[in-house]
Amino acid sequence: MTHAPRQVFDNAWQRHGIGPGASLVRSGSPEQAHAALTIRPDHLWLAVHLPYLPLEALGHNYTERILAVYAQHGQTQQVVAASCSARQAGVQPGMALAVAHSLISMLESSPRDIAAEKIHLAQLATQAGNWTPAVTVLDDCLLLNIAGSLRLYGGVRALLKQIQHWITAHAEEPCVALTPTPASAALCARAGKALRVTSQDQLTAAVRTLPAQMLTSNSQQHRLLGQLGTRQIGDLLRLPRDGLARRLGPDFLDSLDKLLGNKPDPQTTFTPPAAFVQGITLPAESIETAFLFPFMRQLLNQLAAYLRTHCLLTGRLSWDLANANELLLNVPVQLAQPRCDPERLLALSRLAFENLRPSAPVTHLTLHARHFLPANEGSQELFPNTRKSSRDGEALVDYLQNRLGRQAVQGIRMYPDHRPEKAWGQCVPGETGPLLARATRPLWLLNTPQRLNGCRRSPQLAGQPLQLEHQRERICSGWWDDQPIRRDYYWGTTSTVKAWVFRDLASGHWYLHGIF
Amino acid sequence: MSLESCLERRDIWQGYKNTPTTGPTIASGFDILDAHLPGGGWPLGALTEILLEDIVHSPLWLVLPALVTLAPRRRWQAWVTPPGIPYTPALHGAGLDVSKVLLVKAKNRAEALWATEQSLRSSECSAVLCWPGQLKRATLRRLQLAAEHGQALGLCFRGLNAIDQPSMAALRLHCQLTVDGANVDILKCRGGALREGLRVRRHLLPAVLPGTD
Repeated sequence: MTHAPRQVFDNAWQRHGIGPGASLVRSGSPEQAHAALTIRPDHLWLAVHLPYLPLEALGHNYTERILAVYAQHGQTQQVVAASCSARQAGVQPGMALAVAHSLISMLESSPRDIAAEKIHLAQLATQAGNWTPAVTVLDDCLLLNIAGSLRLYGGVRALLKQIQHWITAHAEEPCVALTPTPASAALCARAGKALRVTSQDQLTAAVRTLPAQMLTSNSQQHRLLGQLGTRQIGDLLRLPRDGLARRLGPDFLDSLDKLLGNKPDPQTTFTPPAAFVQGITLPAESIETAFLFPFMRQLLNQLAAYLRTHCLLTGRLSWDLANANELLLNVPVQLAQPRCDPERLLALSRLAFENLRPSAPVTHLTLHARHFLPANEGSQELFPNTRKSSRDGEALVDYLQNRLGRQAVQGIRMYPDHRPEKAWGQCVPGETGPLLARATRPLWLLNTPQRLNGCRRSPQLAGQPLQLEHQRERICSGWWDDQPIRRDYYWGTTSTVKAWVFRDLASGHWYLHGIF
Repeated sequence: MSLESCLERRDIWQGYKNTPTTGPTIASGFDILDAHLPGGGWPLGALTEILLEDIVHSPLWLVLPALVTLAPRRRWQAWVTPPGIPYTPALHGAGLDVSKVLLVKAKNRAEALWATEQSLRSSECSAVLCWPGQLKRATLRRLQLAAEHGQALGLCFRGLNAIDQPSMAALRLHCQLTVDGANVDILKCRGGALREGLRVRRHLLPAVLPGTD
């Protein structure tokens, strides 16, 4: 099985001039070199089939368990997938669950969770967006059109290596097949044949040996195929088309044509969800938040891949810490500026976790990211050290806000209001409000005006009579929002303080409102 | 450690010796202060302590000219737990870029000190103003080292009860407010002479009345 496809692969490579042996310099005449550059497949489909998806969708800790996932087939329960230790005991997919139990008495069984499988596949599809935007999710496999990504990733071989590396870290025994049509790629991957075919011409030869039954899920067609004696796709191709269409229906012929690329086979591109939610089940429960950091890094790296793929930045993160029964903690991470850099996000998350202690051991960690903004990345600096800290100034704000809370770190701005307490306000750090020329105002304003002793004409501050020295300023305003003021403001001095005081026209009392 | 090597250290204060400082400074905007402060102004990358009777009346006017000059140099100027509201219209009127002000309101003293230290250390603040209250000697030293690291102007307003405590700050002033300004005593100053009774006159406030805007 391995020898023949490898040959196919190498031949195809040389035809496209993308193989290691075919470079621009070596390929003879200039015309040939040009041809080698321009002939590039528009369709090169990579299918990833996950044979243990039903197990993987259940969580991460199945490897050490003797576990079988079953599905209801009519009256019987059939095993769909079995963990490694269960397989060693002889449990196989397609086996009745009762038989599996009789093979090994310690077998745990769990019903298949199609919804969880879909979510799991969608998560993988999101990550696969790293390599190409054209990702399609099928029932049990992913399809990636990598034709457009070859040059960026340095050719088929390099890209395949990256994808292989990624998927083996996330799935058990995945099968990766590469062919020019989506249907053939999916078929090969499902059949467990890791074909590498990059040329249309080689495709027919490559798929000949695949089982014909896999073309359809219809049991009647399965029976018919058996009666015709067609076990492999090669057998089907030898038969006359009109006869096939009559016996098996035009749809079957369509799927055969799509398989070989004789008919277009458009695929629905996977659109990732608008929010990033990714969870992880910890290998052991823990009450120490420090133990969570490696897992946080793992999730943040996935988030970064997601953001990079979609040219987004995230403005808000939150972590959910949970055990099997309940949500223990929700930890929001404040970002003064949208970011996508995982190291920075980790540092900020660690800061947010600093003073927290969950009330019970944590077993699940979930990262939520919302509030996406398009990344508008300018060019990178040639010499990164010369970059001024003007944009990086947000780092300090992030840092302070995560420890002290968003409300505790604010900027200040002016508001167009004559009432002194409303002429200023807090805002997002760095925001600029209107800059208004105003009458001279004190540098300090008291949080609330302080009532002064003294008689009607001469108020006292800290036991000293205030010398009212400046022309009065009357401020009557605010009738529209039920916080009206009617005050006469004066400058008053004692031996040490220059104060801003007012007499409330309604009550006649004196108040201290500011210090110059 | 020999005596010579001790004397070579910059952080050992030799009060009798009028050695010029090598550190950068920023003009205070008051001639009399600039004339007597080593280097001609507030020391940058160091902590300056201003001791007064009542920190509620902290003389912002004394430090405001320096803040105005420093503001364009870096992203922020942090004000950690000020005793009142630094009033935006007045700060703007004095020429300060108020979009640089970072108002930090910590829940307790530990958080306030942490925020002060982080701001001083970050190299993103041109100036950090703080009202820390009682300080341990070690804490003050931390703040001074953070200011050296971040090369920020660290201004620390404290009450008079701190006057007898030893301090790591590079500059220590005692400030008695008067009608038209303040009498300033230089209690400690790295690389300069001590002075008493410097009469710093406040710039006159413009008497602008509203009605035009």
